[in-house]
Amino acid sequence: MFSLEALWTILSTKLPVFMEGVVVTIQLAAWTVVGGSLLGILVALLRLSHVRMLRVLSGAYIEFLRGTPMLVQVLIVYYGLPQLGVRLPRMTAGILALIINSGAYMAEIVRSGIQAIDVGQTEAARSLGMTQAQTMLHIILPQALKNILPAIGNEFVVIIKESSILYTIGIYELTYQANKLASTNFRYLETLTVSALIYFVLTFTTSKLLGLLERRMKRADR
Amino acid sequence: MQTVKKGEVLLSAKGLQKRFGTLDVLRGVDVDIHGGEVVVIIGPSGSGKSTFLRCLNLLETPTGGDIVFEGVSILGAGKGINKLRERMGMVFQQFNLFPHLSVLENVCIAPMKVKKTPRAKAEARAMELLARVGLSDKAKAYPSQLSGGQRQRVAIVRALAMDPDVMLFDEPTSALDPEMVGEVLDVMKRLAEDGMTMVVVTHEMGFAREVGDRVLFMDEGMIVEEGLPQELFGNPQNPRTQDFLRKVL
Ligand SMILES: Nc1ncnc2c1ncn2[C@@H]1O[C@H](COP(=O)(O)OP(=O)(O)O)[C@@H](O)[C@H]1O
Ligand SMILES: [Mg+2]
Repeated sequence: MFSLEALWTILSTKLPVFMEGVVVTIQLAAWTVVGGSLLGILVALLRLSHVRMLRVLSGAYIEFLRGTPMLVQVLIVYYGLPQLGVRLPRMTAGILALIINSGAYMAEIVRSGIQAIDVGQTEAARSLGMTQAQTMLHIILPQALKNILPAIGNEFVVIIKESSILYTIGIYELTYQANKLASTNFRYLETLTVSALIYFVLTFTTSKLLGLLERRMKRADR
Repeated sequence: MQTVKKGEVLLSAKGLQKRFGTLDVLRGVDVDIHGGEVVVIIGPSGSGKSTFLRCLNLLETPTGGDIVFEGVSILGAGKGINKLRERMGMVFQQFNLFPHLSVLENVCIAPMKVKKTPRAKAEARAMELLARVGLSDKAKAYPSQLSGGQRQRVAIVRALAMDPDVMLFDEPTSALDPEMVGEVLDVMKRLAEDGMTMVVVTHEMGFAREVGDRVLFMDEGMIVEEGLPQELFGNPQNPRTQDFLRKVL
């Protein structure tokens, strides 16, 4: 039976344990959104390259990563790579797996952002003598990134939730801490509900903060 | 770098052709543009005027013929095209200012990134040019805070900041409210008086008459008739020219 009282006891006495997990979860999500964005920009540029081979490879990467379970990707990075002699610390492997996964989604976000910029911008830049790379760096990307900031924020929220998968490789993030606690107090329902509530507070406030930021940017937007 | 003296051929199209799929948009265009000359191109919509201008700086790749700029064929230029484009300014109907940059940054970015001009020098030059078009007080503004006429003046300044040898204008006043057309034409007129070589596609027949050294009438991808403004407007020879002028004048 679900006991509110047990839930309250867990919340009030074990909050520090959950908080340890929250810190790790936020670290995971922050690294991943930064790394994933950078990887996404790179892959998007390859995807839009004039070189067919690069387009094909980047396209395959995106399709493959989006078409396979994230859990399998995490397991491959953590348990598979050592077989190739690549032995990464737990945390590094976890973040790497998240970045590789998120990069595929980010690449599509960035690509659509780039493609949404009017071709007149490119023409104006090229007519001034800028190279293709200068045009991308100084004219197109800054505008595209600004436009996709809300989508990147969304991805951040998604990563906060999906990082819970890393409990399977023993990273001490929120889900791991909750699970561990539950296996000692046997109050699975209440303990995991607390972790769910904490996840919700994290994602909900993040969304609200991003929405606020977005509105403020729009207002500052001349 | 070779500089062309006033009166010598600066830019020429030789048998220029452009085809989009099965559509022949330019069907052999021959034009010589001389240093210091203002060439005005008129013609019905869809006749290939924009395509012609855009071929001149290779925003479109011609499918036939050649373009010679300052004595060099630019079709084989490869990556060298960026160097050539530096010396050809272009002004677009839709302005195409960079919305994420201030007016000053719009004007400075190409000199700084392309020519590696130091910021202080680029900004000083930009302020000088902005002053010339009466926009000194807008240097810190962003494009969306400007009127259409102001935007187009900034676009002209942005092109001028690269010190081009020729300026290409593609219907620079067509997207403007009528009351703003004059301020842009004035800037262009002064540019012409200062000796800038200009190729101007426009529907402003008054400007063509007053500022143009030569007027070309383009129809269906060819130069059908050309002449001095007073000749072409006063006494057009080709029936298609006559027909077009009857409609627009
Ligand atoms: N990128 C393009 N792809 C296909 N057709 C084009 C393209 N650009 C222009 N055209 C066609 O070429 C013709 C001439 O266009 P344009 O040069 O813009 O004429 P104008 O500037 O005289 O109005 C039009 O029929 C137009 O539809
Ligand atoms: Mg046109």
